[in-house]
Amino acid sequence: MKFRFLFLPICFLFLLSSCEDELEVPIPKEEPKLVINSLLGVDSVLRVHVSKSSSFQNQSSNNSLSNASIIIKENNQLLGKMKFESDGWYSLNSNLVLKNSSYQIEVSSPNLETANSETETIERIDIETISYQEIGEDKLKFTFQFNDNPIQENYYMILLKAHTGTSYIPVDFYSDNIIFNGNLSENSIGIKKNMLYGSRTFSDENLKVNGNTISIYIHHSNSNSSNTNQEYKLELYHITPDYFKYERSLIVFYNRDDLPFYNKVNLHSNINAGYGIFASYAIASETITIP
Amino acid sequence: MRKFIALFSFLLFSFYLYSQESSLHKQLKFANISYPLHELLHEISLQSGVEFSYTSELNTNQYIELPALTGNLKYFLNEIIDTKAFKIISKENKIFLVGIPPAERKYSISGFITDSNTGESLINASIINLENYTGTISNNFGFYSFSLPQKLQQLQISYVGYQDVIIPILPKQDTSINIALEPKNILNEIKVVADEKSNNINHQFVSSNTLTSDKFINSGMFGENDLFQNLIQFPGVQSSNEGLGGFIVRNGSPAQNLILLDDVPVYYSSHLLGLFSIFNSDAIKHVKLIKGGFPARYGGRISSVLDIRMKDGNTKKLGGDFSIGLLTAKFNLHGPIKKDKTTFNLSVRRSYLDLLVKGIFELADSDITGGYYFGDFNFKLTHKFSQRDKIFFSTYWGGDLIHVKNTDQQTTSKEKTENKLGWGNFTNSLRWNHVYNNHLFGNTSFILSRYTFLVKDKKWSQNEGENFKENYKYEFRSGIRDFTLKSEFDWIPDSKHYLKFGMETSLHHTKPGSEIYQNNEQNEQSTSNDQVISSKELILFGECQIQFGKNLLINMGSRWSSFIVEGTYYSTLEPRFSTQYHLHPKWTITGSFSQMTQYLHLVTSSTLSLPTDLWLPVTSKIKPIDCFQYTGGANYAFSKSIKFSAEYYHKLSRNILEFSDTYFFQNVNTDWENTVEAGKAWSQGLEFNLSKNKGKTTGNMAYTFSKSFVKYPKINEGKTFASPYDRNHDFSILLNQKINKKVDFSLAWVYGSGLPATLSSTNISTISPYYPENISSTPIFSHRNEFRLPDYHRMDFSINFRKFKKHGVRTWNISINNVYNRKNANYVSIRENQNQFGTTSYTLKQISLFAFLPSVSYSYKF
Repeated sequence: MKFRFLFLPICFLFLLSSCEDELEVPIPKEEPKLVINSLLGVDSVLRVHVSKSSSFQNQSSNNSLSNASIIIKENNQLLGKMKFESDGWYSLNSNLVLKNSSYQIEVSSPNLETANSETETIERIDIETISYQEIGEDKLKFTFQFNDNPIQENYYMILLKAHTGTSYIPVDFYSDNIIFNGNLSENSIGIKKNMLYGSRTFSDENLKVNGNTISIYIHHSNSNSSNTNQEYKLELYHITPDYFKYERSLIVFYNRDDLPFYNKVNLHSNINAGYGIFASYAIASETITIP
Repeated sequence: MRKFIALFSFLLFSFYLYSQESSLHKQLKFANISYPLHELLHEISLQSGVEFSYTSELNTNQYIELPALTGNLKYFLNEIIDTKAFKIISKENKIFLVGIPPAERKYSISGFITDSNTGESLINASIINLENYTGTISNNFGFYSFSLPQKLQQLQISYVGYQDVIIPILPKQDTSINIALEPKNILNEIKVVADEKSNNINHQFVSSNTLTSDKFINSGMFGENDLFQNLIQFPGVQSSNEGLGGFIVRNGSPAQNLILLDDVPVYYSSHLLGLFSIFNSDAIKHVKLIKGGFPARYGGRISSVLDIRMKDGNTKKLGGDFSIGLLTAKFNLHGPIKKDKTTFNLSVRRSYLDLLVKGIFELADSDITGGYYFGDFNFKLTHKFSQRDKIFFSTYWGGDLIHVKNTDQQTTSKEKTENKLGWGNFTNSLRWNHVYNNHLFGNTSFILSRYTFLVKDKKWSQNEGENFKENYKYEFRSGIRDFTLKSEFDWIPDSKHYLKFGMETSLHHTKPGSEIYQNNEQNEQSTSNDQVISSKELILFGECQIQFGKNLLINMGSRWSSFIVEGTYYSTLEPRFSTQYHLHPKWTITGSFSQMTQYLHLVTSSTLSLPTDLWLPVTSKIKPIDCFQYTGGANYAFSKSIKFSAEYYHKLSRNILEFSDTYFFQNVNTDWENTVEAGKAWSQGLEFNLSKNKGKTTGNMAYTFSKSFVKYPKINEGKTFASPYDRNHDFSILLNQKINKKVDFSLAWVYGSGLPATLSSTNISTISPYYPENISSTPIFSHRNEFRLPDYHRMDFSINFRKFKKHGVRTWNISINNVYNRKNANYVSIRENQNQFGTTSYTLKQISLFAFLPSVSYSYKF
């Protein structure tokens, strides 16, 4: 990852005989809190993962909760109590997530403070056209279009998956398109961009400049090119602002993890009296086969 | 009835005063411009009807040149009678001209104090009347003025590091005397003059320290004479992260320090991410650090003022020096262009690591080349038009550049990429000094300050048999530009009063970031020009230093600042007050109150001093930072050279900013208001300082005990927590020993208790944003600054070996940073460890920079 050249001076400082030691620092104990994780897909089953936080010293292999009581509402109308599946997952199979609706969740568990949250679901944005182009020896470029509603502020996420015969596996992709603001540029050295390096989300803020045509590319080495007829699936997620913030904060969190001296970043959470995320998305996808 | 009598009496008294005064307002008209005094008085009597009565001391035969032919009586009397020798008393229709006894007559003495060898003006030199131990000090341009009675007196002019001069003087009229002081030939004398309290002189020293650059110790990395590292010897001053990222004063952030280089505010003051300050010691003459009790002429930042003055240049002869160390090479040349009239001072510094790295890459025949360098250029031109007029032009350019080039060879094509990252300051000031009269000195400055940050990415591709073709280009620019016009005056009516007043108007242009993007492969091109944020600032200030009796000195003043940005208007009246009282020749107590306002916020995301840090003006949502500081202290002089001081401070700040828990970079340049939270901070501390500044052994010992807290409504659940600069104990000791003329050494030890740190100490389950069925574990933090880093301590050693040669002095310097190889924690993080069974555990790791680090440098002064 060439962007790391940016940190040449930092590396230089480290070369000045820096060293690493293990520390004995007293860590204060913390009371556990509920952790709610749920990304609701429109037209999908309602699923929620519930666990509790654990302090640094009290590491346990599994913090998932099986005894949580979860109440979920749709447009403030009670849908029911979610049923425990396994490993902290709860679901309500009787209902699919509706678009343009609001969902409220309230989770309680013995000895833990009750946590709650709310999210609005959104509509799917279809991919209008998709095409590909081989560039040079090792690049495969995909170009696609979709209709963004310019009146409202929209957030999106793109995933590209390659078919392996039995399933789709994710593929790393890059883009010099301005909407990613350099986050997916291979050669970018901008410090700010690299804090978000690898983020696949974007806002429609810059779409007005370029229209709604987006190009991404992959390297052949990533694309399992031994297969003569390679199938790819491009997924366009229309996501809520909380989803966008969560994805970006997670990316910054991990990118910054190995960069010392940066201020700490926490994960975005919209859970009251707890941790986690309760957000939604609507997905559109197109497949394309490269002969 | 009583009321009537009182009113009648009052009216009668008023009429009496008016009738007395009205005779002085009678209009006069003269036919000639010149008269003998007795004729003139007679003519006045005829025209105005007043009678004159005077003593024989008045020389009535002298000829008087009239300044005008018409005017009132009062005007003419003040012009024709020497009011310093005669009192004018008006009573009914008579005017008495009463001679003042010679011992009571006062005349002003003014001029400039300079170094006799170089002609450099000396700042804060003291002028003391040995008769009664009253006096004054020279200002930032070496100008002084004060009054003396008409009798033979001894004036002592002194400046640390220079031979005292005693001048016998019998003033008979207002006199201008320029004084040149001879430097003492004592090597390595530390010129800490802040606590030099030749008491009773009109010298304010509350919460301030002064340092001259020629005695900087080699305390920076690689033997550099780094200014910021020298400042940490003072109480209340500490480095932020082992020399990285500026300095901290009384628990304030580095962004709250106003750094002035020849009156120009400097926005980015570090090279190499904060490892070195941008100030080349070769170009610096004088540095003053003010931590509290701020005079009204300073403002704009809330924690401290670092007033740096560049050398003017030698007025007598050409001189200079050069040096080469492990990291940088420096060159300085100064001298007269026209002797005693026009001088210059030129200093250049450059790091040369990139040249070495480039050579290594070339030797290795690498596809990648790159490097980093920083450089500084200081130039100052001074011209003296007359004894009363002087003009100064000073400029500074300094910058850092990182560049990386990469060539990727494929079977039939080639791709070349180039990345550049650069940042730097460009400051200019044009100043005009004018001595209006013996009591009034003026300085008018026009100032330009610019800071620029630049990113350039380019890609070229070349197919077989073709030339390279540019197919990708990206450019980003951000920065700030200031234009300032400032006019300030020193008015010294007598030795007990010193007034400073002036105005300042500034235009700030902030460029949050403009981008040019061009992708020829995809035929895409866009230019996103940021909107320049223009803000205007108008400042009026006035301060008055008054000596009450022999023991009490008070400085009071006020600063009115107004700030206009995009339709939002802020205005603040900042009162300032400081006082010092001499209880005893050896004891002085001090106290102060000051309010400071800061209209520019530094948006930063790191504890390092990064070039991406952005200065942004206040908005309608983000309000200016206000700080109220109270200090109280005592000073004790054991002897002329050994001084002790103790000072307590209490600071309250509001509208300080902190990034919210979940901020992340999403157009910080435009959306920064939404990523920060405003809160309050309060700090208090007790500082002790013991210093010895004369003799072969000199040194300084400082200890500070302090506490500092912050509170933000939406951070840390609204609970109070330790500020990032809450170092409870801070101790430093510095020892300088002169062995002989050729050898001297210095030893410095600093200790600081651990700074607070935020560490992730809670584990939560997190859902993958890409695969909502995947759950993993992520450590997060639930409280801010809950941990303490381990204590910090370090010892540095530096020794100089000099050889006096025919044309100059050669010096070898050997320095050792961190003599006993202390591993101080610069950064602490939590590491996830997995054993062979897949069980995850977490440990705390510390990263230490700058272990035992020896360095050597060679310099030659001619």
